Amino acid sequence: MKSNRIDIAGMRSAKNLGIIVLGNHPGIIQSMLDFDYLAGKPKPGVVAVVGVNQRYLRYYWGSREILMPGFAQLRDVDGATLESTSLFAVAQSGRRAVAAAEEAMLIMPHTVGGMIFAESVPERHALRLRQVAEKNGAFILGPASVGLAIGGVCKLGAIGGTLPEQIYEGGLTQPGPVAVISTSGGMVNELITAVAASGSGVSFAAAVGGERYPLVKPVELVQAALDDPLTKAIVFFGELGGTDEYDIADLLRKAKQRKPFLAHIAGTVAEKFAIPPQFGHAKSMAQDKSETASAKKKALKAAGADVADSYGAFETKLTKLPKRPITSSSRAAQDLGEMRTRTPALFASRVSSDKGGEVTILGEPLTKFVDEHDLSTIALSMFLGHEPKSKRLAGFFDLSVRLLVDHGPQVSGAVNTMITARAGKDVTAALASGILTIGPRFGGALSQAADGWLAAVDSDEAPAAYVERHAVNKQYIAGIGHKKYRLDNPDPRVAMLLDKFDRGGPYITFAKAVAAITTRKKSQLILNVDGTIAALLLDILSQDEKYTPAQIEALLKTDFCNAIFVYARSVGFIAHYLEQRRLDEGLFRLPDDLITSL
Amino acid sequence: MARVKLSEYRAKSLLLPVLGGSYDGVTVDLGEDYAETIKRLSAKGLYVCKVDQAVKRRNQSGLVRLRCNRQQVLEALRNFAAQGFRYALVEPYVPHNRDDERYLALVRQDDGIQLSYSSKGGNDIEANAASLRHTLLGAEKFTMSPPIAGLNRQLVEKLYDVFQSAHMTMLEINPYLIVDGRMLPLDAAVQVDSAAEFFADGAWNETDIRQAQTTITPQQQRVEDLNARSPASLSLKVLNPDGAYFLLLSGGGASVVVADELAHTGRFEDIANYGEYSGNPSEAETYIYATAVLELLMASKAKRKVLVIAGGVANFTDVAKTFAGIIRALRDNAQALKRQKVVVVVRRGGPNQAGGLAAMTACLEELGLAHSVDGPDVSLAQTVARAVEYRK
Repeated sequence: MKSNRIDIAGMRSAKNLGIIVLGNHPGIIQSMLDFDYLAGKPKPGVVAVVGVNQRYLRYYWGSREILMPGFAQLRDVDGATLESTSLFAVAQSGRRAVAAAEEAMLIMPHTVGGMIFAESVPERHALRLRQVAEKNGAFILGPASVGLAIGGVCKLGAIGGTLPEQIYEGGLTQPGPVAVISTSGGMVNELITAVAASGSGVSFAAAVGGERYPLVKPVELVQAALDDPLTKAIVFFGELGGTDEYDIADLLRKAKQRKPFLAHIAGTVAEKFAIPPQFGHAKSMAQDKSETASAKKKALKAAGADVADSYGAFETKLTKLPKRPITSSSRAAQDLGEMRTRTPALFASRVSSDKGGEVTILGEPLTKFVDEHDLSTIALSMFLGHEPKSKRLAGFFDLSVRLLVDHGPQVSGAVNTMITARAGKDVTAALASGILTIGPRFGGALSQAADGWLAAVDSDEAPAAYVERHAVNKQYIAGIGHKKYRLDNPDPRVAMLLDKFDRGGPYITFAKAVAAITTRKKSQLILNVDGTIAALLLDILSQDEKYTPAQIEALLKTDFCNAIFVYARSVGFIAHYLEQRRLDEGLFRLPDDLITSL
Repeated sequence: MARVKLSEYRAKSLLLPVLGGSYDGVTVDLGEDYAETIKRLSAKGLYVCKVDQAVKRRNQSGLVRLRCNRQQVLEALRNFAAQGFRYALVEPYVPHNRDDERYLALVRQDDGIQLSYSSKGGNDIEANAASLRHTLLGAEKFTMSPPIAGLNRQLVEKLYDVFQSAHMTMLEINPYLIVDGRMLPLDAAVQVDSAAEFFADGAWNETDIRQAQTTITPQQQRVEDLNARSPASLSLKVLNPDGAYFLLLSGGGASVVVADELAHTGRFEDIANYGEYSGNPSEAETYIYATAVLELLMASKAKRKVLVIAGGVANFTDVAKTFAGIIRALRDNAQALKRQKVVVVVRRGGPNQAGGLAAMTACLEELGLAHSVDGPDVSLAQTVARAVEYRK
């Protein structure tokens, strides 16, 4: 056992103490955010929730709603987020909890520890996980722990309560001199409350959990308390069953540091039974005399601990702990009032806001934002929900939109717009009829091509196999083929895009390889403008914008590519509408000979 | 959750195939008509008939009958049923020399699996403790260091495999014989990890789990059923049906503290029940749980009964919600509680404690029951002292 596995002082001084929560447990996660807020932290410690289908979850930061990133799998979490984390909290079922914690230690690069709050984790799994944790030099509280709280620093789990008032009144949001260590999750909070009531406060508090094989053993927490310079006294609550208290007694005898150690061991009542019933926790059954509460009390007393004869006597001793008055601030009182009445909004938006007439775009005042950016960048930023990182994406988006602005009045959407205009309808109806034409066969190839390139490149499919798969399934390849352009009559738009933005990225290379195969079959089956934009966009998103594959996939799912086309082509449609109104030729009717009546 | 005992029938059904044999014991539910089952036994055979529940010292208590013919099996079963037992086991009697009885046990520890072996097994193994040899098997992979003389390594490995795959925590085979080079267990006791049912891959299920108790009250049964279905944790044990202190407690730690304090002040004999709810049960679950406790309370013949509704300061169990369930149960039984002049002592903290405590006070005032209702400013020990005071 490494003695410094739970480095409380280290966590106190850590710059990035980000927490990833595995499993969405709103009450617990919100309480962790509330703790950070009430402790005066600039931003939430929880950086992501894993194991959810939503990409964002609504939580509160103070009384304001925020969006917490959500991920289906831990490996979907982006590198920057993973870099900023060092703790994890597992709030998943017993079946999945161990696998989740093992994965966390594998994937999170800077894990110092975590906690598991699950019912019914098998003993064998717990024992295996204990080994994995030791090997990684990380601590894991659990498998049935309410967690760890470091006064004023972090709250990992349900420990200390789930409502803002409770967290604040327990004094946890400020550091204190007393470490509270308990086998029982309920009692750790009882004791935090008692310590606060005595005019003292908590340096850190942790519950081991009542399972037979806790991952972090009580003695390791006692060691952490002895090592922690801020801890001046230790309060310990144990129960009958198990032999952990003997390890603590050994440590107290051997340790160089000496700190007052106030202990109570519950479960003397069991000694009055011939065959005692199982008490509250799995571990609460003495296997032999040495595991009884009385025997363990005796061992601790012999090692110099201050052991109470009864719980009542223990409570009395608690009132004599080193003092640290909690300073209450008026801001906290106001915050708590606002937090009490918070209710979720119907919609959330990061694109823009209007607060009392002050409009912002992406968090900046409207006038400042538009003053600093051209129209394409404004549109792109608003479409993405954030400003682009790279000039390259901005330039590419701008050129794509300009190229897609119109492609002659013959195309379906433009025809519909013109017919509607000539029927005397207004601009909204005419534009809508044009836009409503956009779909899988008109304009929508951009989305389909992007989906196809992304899936093929990410799964390492060979271009030939890609072509063959589509041929076998009698599917068109989105992004390939054009009615007019052919090998000997290339699309000038494609040439322009490739000239400016093809840097040999994996997606455009793949798309060109596909076209090289298809043009051998038919010279019309060239890489078209949709396929080119799609492939170049994927390359720029991954190379210049540093999107992960999961982030790109999520962006595509929002219909982002179609949005580019709709935005650009709306200009053409509006122009065709206005032109028809200027010409004012009257209602359009298809000449009879252009319809074949069967 | 905890280590629980499997029926000997299931234990042997798991062991025998591994040992190269097959198990031909018959499990008997004494609550059903078992005469037909017994008729199918051979008229000429001799059998062992034993109670198959988590009862210690079966031999000494006359709960194992050896060398029974078919008629004697039937008589033994009737006798077991009359003593209130529910499950029994009938298996062929194996004549043998007591000197051939051996002992083997595996127990899961945090550093591996401890193996204990003795060539002098049988009832008096405790007297022969000096003959026990111990060694440690690997926690995840089979290793045995040091080996034990006279014990076949392959046999141990087979037992190890079934021990692991069935998520056993304890396996005691005492005694067993070696017949034609094979292990033949005469008596086998197995504890498994109740949290591992899903991972034991069908080796056993909850119907194989045996309790020591011969009879269980309908209230306890209801709570057990509730606990099996709920993500929360609920337990209830009757200690003294005519006790005076009825405990409606929350939290594995705080509930033990309350029971301790009652015992510490000399009220152990008056404790009617032990149990606790935790893990944020719903209003409905708390209602069912509270109703079970109240039913036990109303049936007690004790005078001046006290209902202690107590717990620590909860982390995430919603006090208002759980108290709403308790309040509903109190209202359902208002008449009887008033008639019996039940005193109610309440102490609780946690999420939404203000609302929960206020609703509880309002309910108890309305029902006209003597009561005290407190939050965390009154300590657990003070609360128990108050409950004790009421009965002085």
